[in-house]
Amino acid sequence: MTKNEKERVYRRLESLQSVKNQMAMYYLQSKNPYLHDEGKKIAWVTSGGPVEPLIAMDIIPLYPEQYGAIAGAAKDSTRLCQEAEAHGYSADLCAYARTSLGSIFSPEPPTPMSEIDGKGGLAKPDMLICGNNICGTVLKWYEDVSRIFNIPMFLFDTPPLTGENPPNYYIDYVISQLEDLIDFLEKQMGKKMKEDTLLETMRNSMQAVDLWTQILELGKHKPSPLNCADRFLLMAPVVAQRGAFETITVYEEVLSEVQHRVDEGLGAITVPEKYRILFDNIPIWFNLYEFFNSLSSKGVVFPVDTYTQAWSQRAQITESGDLLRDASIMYSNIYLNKTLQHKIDLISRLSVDYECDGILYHSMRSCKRYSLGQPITRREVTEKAGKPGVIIEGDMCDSRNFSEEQAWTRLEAFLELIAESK
Amino acid sequence: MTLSNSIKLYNIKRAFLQKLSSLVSERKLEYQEFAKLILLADIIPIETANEYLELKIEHLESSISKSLPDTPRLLLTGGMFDSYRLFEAVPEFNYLVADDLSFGTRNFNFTVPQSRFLEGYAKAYLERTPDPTAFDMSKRLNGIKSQIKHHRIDGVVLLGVKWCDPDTFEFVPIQNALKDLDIPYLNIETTPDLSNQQQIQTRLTAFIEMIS
Repeated sequence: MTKNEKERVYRRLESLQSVKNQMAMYYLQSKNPYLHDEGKKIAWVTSGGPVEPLIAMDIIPLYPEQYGAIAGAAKDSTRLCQEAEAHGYSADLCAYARTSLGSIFSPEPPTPMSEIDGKGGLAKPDMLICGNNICGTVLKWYEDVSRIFNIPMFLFDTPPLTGENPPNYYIDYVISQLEDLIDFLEKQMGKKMKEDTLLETMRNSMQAVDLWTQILELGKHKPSPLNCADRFLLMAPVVAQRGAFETITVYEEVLSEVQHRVDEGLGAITVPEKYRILFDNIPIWFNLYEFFNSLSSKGVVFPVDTYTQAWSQRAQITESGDLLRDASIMYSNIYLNKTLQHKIDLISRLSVDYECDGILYHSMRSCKRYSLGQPITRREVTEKAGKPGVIIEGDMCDSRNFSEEQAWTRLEAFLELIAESK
Repeated sequence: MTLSNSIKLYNIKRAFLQKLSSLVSERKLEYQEFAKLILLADIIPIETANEYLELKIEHLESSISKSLPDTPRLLLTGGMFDSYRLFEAVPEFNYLVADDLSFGTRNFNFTVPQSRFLEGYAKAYLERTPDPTAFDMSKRLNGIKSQIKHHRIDGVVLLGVKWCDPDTFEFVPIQNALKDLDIPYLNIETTPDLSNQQQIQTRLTAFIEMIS
């Protein structure tokens, strides 16, 4: 295996351009100099934060974590991490946080859409919405951003969920959080939330999530019509633009193309599929194409991963008017807000449903919440589902935490093990 | 034991630790020994702990003061650090006259009301100086500022445990606050196994020399 494989062995997804166009428009709108005059504002939001109330209130949600992914893919995130460290932040902190903070301090941060927007970084926020359903680090990160920009921050608190079904007192508490959030947004925007608009936004959001789930489930086919890198790029709208009607249109197009691949027996990679592997954790953004393309050349495909599955939950939106209850369950029922046993069960189920030969666990030095417990998970999943696993060490944004040679050595040994057992 | 009695006993323990803390500030007790007393009181039965702490206070108040370092006066701030072995191995930590640690002052500088039981209990924990994992560190920052004034602090040591995000995130605003107050500070990070103990001693010595 050569880590610097140049030959492209993946099939280009044409509808990816529509996703890119939608995201370009989204970022362009966020830099509109007349945005405030038009009654809109900008909020920076954590990836698990409730987005629908914001969209319903004419607030453009921007995601510093997504910005970290973009800066990582542009191979500029390590520089931004160092910029944050120069301002006193520990090199062991979350690399998404350091990338985002570094972009605030840097005179030349990369811009999400450089071809259409010369100004660097994300648009400056008017407010912050921090959901702790993905980790506790975001709380401290956003507190610092709040101090730096001197802007208000709302903490959307969802206690860790220990079972599959949250008890009523838990749901009541999270509903109170959503009510507080709406009060906060109304105060910031100087207008009342319209329930009809929120319901429509929630419906759009759920439709987009449904389409996204359908797209992901097509990975069960052999050959898999999508690989990891495809999903990691396609996920941008379901993260940032849930609730926007455009996301539905774009995902219908993606679903159609992926379904066509399935109908025609076309795989995501152009060489015969030899190994089907489940990927756990956030990708190595600064090494995205090199990593997956090099593996593809050996017939390795990733039909499923845990990261993009995180946006496939859905609440049952009814006409009963219990919108906040459904939303509270949805926003609590997050992969990273649940137990290690849930993770073991989910990976076991997915690895069987998608007929995987094994699991690649990416242990990220700077994302403790996602990586904690991976050795236990690997052991338990192997026992439960009979799927072997390998752990490689890396990072989502800080290239100093990734040893390519060491990762490849482990992966080669892992693939040999799978080949022998077939 | 009833809940009421348990609350009473732990309130007594907290009061004793507050008293011992003031003896550290008066330089009648070394910080190294104080840190060990805090941990000891957490792991032995509460009645025994209270008896021992009371005897210790009586002994310290009646005995002639030891020759403890006079200047400078340091404050230690951090999160969930409880490895007293570091304080034992690095004698320069005896320049400490106060701390702001999760298992230190933040764990005993409050009282639980005995009349309102669970509500009082919850309120006491919500109102005490918060740990780094909690939302809104302004109360912690105010607490540090108040300690600096009360204990006449000359320098602050920020002790972080590597890979603890909440802990090390709060260092930046604390450092900024200290800069505003013109209080010198030293930022040190260590691991649970204290792998850089020698380096910590060297840096702490240099810091003490600098502010002396």
